[in-house]
Amino acid sequence: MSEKQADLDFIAELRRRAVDSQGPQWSSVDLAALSQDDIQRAFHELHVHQIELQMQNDELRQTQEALVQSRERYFDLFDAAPVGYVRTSQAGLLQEVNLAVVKMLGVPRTQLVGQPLGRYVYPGHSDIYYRHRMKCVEIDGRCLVEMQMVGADSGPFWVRLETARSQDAQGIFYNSVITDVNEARLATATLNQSEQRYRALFEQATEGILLMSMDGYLIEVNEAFSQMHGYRQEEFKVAHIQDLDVLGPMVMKGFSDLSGLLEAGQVVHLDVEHWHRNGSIVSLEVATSRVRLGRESFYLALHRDVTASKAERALLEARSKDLAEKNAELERFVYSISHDLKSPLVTVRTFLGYLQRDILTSDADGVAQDIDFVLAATEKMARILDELLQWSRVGHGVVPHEDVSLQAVVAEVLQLLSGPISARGVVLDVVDEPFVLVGDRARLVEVFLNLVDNAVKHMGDQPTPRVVVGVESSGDQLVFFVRDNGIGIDSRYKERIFNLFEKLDPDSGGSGVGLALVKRIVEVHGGRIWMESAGPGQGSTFFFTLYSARRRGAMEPAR
Amino acid sequence: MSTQLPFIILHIEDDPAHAVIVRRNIAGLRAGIQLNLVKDGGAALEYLFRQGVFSDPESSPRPDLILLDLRLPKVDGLDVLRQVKLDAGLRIIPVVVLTTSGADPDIGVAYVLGAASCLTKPTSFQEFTLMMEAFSRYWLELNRLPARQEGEGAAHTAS
Repeated sequence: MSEKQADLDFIAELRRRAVDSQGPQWSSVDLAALSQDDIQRAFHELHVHQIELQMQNDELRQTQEALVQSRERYFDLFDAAPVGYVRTSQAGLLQEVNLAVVKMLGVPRTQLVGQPLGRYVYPGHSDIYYRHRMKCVEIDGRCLVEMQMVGADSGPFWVRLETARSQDAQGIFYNSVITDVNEARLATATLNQSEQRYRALFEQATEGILLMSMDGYLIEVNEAFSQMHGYRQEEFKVAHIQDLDVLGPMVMKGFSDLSGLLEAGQVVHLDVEHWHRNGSIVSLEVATSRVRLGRESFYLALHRDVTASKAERALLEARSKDLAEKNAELERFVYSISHDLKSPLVTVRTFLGYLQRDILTSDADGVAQDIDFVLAATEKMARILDELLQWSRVGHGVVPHEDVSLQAVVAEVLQLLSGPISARGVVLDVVDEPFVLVGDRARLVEVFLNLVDNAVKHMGDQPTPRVVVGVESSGDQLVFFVRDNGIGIDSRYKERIFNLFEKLDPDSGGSGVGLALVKRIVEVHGGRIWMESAGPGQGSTFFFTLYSARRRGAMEPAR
Repeated sequence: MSTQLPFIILHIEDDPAHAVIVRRNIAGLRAGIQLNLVKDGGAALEYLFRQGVFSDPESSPRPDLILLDLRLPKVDGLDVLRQVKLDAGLRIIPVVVLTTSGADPDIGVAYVLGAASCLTKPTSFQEFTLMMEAFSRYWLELNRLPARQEGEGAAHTAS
């Protein structure tokens, strides 16, 4: 039935009613008694009433149209809304559903109306929905729940259900908004998983990770970083990096220096030392970089603990340095031999040549002199070889660890040198204390013997020659000295004098192995030797260190 | 002979036997050669810079040639060479270096420092003789030495 037709029917119905209701009043009027004026007035009133009614009618019609339009508009809003709207009764039955809900559930509107909303809730979440409904009853306000629903042609999907209680003349009902949050939830799940993965990476990384804001505020440290320093993670509660007890003082300065490089996106590698909780030093290799996250930036520092390998490396370096030194010594040794033995060889052969000539010319004096030179040269060679042998013997095998009395050693030396000492008139001032040394007795005697002998030999013109043999104790090592007031040594040569075959004064006796031998013996006993002299004419002092018996076991075996 | 007499050689050698050998070979060859011997590097420098016992220029005349053994006590041969060649007044004097071994790596260093020539002490008497003859002939006859400087024989101050 068209609307216009419905309207006409309606008007006809009204008229019928009107006629019925006015019927008796009209029939009581006596038409014959009415005047012309009365009739005109009556018509005029009727006319006016008619117009009034027309106008009211029109107004009503407009209002009705407006209402219809309004209703259409609101229905449109309701139905075409991007979210689902439902109205349910107190019993939970669907009274109104919009298009979105129809689409969500895949069920036509007519089928939905009258069904309980709960029918379309995912069975596993029924209890959640139930609790939500109970809450809605209690609370005068919005209730929110997230749960899964099931449609006719889809698997379960997540929705957010927001319900508010409402009341009107017809009773209590519930208005709900149903929003499909399936995608959002999946995204969150993925994000969570991703977040968990990266958190696990961060926490379980073997390298210590430290995150810091651009101005030095600590963002986070991971477990490895904490453990490296002997702390538990929760103990790192400082706000600013310069409050971190573990850092050495140079770190903040280092950071400000490097910020330029980090700014440019470079990874900066540093070797740093941090304090461990127990006070020891932790050596770390650190790689620092700047991380950009949208408009934010922060610093990332990865720490690798290299304390152990650093110690190892230091040991290796010390060993290889030691080896290099030994090699150099060996080379000098070989060089020395080849030169210093060759020299007397030249003499021998050349003078044998002269000898041949002098024999032929019967030059007896020449012959005698030639033979002298040859003999002297061969003696020199023998001496060199002999002392070389001694020198190389020092250091073979383990140095005997016997207790040696200093006094006994000195007594023996004085006895061996008694001739030269008295011949030169040297006054000896010897330490009298009962120190006990550890080492090879014969070798220790050689040390003192050589030094005192040298001192006596190098008195020069000293009218009151004096040699002092003394001791200064410093801890486990004893520092000995042999001091003379003889000709002294130019301090330029203070290291050269210990070289093999180095002889400062070729006229003095000896082949020059003496001091080299002494040095070797001292070093094999774990000590060191050095010389000090104010210069020529001002005497010299030889210092050397040896272990006392109290520190037995500290000596290394001879190499 | 193209050089002025007397021809003064400063011989720096610590081994007395070797000093004798050289003396015998050189002095016998020509007249007018004066061989002055010092026994270590320290004495050599004192001689050249006219210090200490060598202050008198009469008894320590400036040499025309220096014969330098590398292995010396007190001051090493190469050190002597270096100091001579660094000194403005002394560096013009040719230095002939003597070593015991031909494979000596110091030979290269000696040339870099300014040695004029390097000789190895031979181990045979004949070779030594021949070598010294050749040495004399070369340095005293063939080789041109620079003209003697102004004030030769006068006191020479170390610069």
